[in-house]
Amino acid sequence: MSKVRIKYRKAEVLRWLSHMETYRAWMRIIRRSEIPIRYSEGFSPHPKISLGPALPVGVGSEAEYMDIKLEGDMAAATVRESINSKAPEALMVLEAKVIPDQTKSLGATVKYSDYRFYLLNERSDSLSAQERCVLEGSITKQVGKNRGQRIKCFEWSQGNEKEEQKNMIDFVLRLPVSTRVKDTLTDLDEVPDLKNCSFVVDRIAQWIGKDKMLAEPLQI
Amino acid sequence: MSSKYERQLYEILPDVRRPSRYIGAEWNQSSKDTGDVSIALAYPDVYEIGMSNLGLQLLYDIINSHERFHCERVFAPWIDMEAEMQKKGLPLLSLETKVPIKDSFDLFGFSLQYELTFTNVLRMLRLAGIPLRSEERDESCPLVIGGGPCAFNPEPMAPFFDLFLIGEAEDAILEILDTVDKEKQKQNRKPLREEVLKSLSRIEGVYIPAKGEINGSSRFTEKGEQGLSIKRRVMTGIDNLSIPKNPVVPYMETIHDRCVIEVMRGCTRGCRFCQAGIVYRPTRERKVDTVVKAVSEQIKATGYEDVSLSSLSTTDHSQIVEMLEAIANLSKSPGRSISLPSMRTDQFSVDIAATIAKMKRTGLTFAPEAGTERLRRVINKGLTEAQILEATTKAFKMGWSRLKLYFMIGLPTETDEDVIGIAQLLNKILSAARDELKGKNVGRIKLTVSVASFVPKPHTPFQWIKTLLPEEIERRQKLIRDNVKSKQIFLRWHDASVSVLEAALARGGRETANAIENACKLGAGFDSWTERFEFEIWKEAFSLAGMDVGEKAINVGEPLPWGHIDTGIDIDWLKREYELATSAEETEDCRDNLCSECGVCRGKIGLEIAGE
Ligand code: SF4
Repeated sequence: MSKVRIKYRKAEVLRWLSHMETYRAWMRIIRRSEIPIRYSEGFSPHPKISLGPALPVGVGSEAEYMDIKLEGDMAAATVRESINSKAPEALMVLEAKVIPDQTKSLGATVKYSDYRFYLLNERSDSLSAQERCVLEGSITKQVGKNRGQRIKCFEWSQGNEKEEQKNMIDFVLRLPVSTRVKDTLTDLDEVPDLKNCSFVVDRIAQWIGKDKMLAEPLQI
Repeated sequence: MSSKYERQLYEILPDVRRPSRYIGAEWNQSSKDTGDVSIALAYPDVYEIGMSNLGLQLLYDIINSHERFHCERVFAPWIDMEAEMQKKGLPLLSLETKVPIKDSFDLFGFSLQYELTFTNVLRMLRLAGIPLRSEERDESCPLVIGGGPCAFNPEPMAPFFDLFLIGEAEDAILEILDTVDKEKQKQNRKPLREEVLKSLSRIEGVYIPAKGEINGSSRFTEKGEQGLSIKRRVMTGIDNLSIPKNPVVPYMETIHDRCVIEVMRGCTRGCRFCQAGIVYRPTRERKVDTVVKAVSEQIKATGYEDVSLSSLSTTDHSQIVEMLEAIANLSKSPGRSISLPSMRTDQFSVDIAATIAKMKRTGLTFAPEAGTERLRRVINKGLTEAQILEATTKAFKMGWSRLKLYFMIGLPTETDEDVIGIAQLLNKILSAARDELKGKNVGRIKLTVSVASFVPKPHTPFQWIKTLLPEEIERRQKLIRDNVKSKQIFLRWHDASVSVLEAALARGGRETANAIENACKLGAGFDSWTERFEFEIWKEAFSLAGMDVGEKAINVGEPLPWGHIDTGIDIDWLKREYELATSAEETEDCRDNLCSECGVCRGKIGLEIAGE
């Protein structure tokens, strides 16, 4: 038996799948790929697939993880290719790695997620430093209020060559895994000029604790 | 191809329930986005209900496999989504390429599976910006076509459709698309609706309601002798018909959520209440090899583990044992299960269920339908009490502890004794189980009993019968409740008023369309959802149309609103069956007995039994 950790994306319209739907999609993809997935024992056996922390419905991701158990050994690259030949683009495997049997589950080890927020701004000019400050403060206040945790906000950018992204502001937040993404932007109404703007969120990384540092789930 | 509506649609999704209903992009979705003729195939309910329908997947596959034709799906947006779309000014969009139905398709086809989805048809037309009534549509509208079981009495929905297809659609749908194609090429311009409809009317099974109108109503004679008679399409050589190789795999959980293979079409058991048992005659079986090949292809193409062998009565298939063995041998996957959605209440069926339960245990369902032997003879169910008790006891002995049972009340000739008989039968099932198991595991036994109210359906021997008033149905429900003795029996009812409405819609004439339109205007929609159904709306809708939702009996010999629809079954046979019913006499299954001359077998049409 072997255990494989898989990093995959959940992009485009598949961001709208619920956690359960994503799990079922993977069951089917894995069966189609005919890799030798292991089944649980008992009256109604099911394939050994365990997904990492749930992604809120509507949030896309370039960094989802799952662990699967296989009968016998299979090279990680073969697992990746077999799956990708039967998976939609929007749920593609990005990386796969054989991991030690005793590796703790993703659910138990993932501590933080980085989310990129894209705000579709109505205005054409960029946000002033002061406005960013207000926005950041509002987010911090919101998250901090609920969780008593500090969050980190970094990587501001604005303006893009692409016409449709011209007025887009994006920023990345690192949130503890227990924080609900939805809660972080509920105070947007307090930010001048950002009322009524719509936003899109993508998860871009997840982090596990390792030797008191943060590491990607595949770095084990 | 990405439509300009797509982004607007995605902006709505955060605000609606279950957004995955609206995204499409499933595995095996057709990648076609254009064709010489395109059709939007609609199921007038939400995505997960529509995608549970086998016929829709079948037609989607047939049409898209054709090089010149293009088919996309469309489902009814749930109330919240519909409201958001209206707010944003978004029209009804196709699931695949998210383009407006009105501008992008030549045909807009509806699968009419259940009367309580009728208002959703109107809601979808409204959202699409297509006038509800055929007579109000102009050249900018696609042709609206309906098919499915409810089309066997097309009249209540007739004004809303440009045409109906009566019967099995495999060949006819291609003939229809081909005809539209020819008309389009002929004129080098968009052909006039009238011309296209005229050509389409020559296809067997096509009914153009505008032609069937007689002074705004449709009072045909009993046999449709107004010079109009529409023959139902019946496929022959079913073993050679295509089975989808790559069915679409929904992300959402659907009712089936597995490979569904139609192993047999039609049923000749002859239950007198059952419309499907009439309008899909005669019995036509697929061969074991054909089914096994299809199962194996679909498992590969979908990643489904489970298989459902579908038909009206799967354990009746003449080679069911061989078929199950062959499927079980296909792979040794531990997760595999096979389910038979419909089976007889007899020992043989339980044996079969036990064989397949070695793989993975699924539920067991029996449908005795009536509580006494006399009433079961009336409906031609032909089950003795001994047979039922043998089957249930055997099931418990083989390890099942939960059974589902289906009954009906309000059947013709039913007396209180018959109704109480249901409760008594349930009590007997339990006590027989106690005796047999001698106390072991008896406590785990649970009977889930669903009691529906009888709804008379067109083209059946019971088509003339009057339905009961809700109060009377409720009184009979109480009779059962009062006589059930155990906490291990769980009774479930169908809302009595739902059945009354169902009957009114099922047996309505053309004037019923006014009531349906009124109901839609008054806010009805998704009426088959308990949380949405409002009988008050319907009562008002009927009374505004000058009608009564409560039912009348139709006298035998009186004209029938569906008299012009020729299912192939002889009306005199139906009358004889009705008479036999009143004297509780049975008619045997023609599959292994004498032909009872229902009239459907003629020419190439006949029983098709695998292995013969
Ligand atoms: S015509 Fe005879 S054999 Fe054919 S379905 Fe009817 S009863 Fe059966």
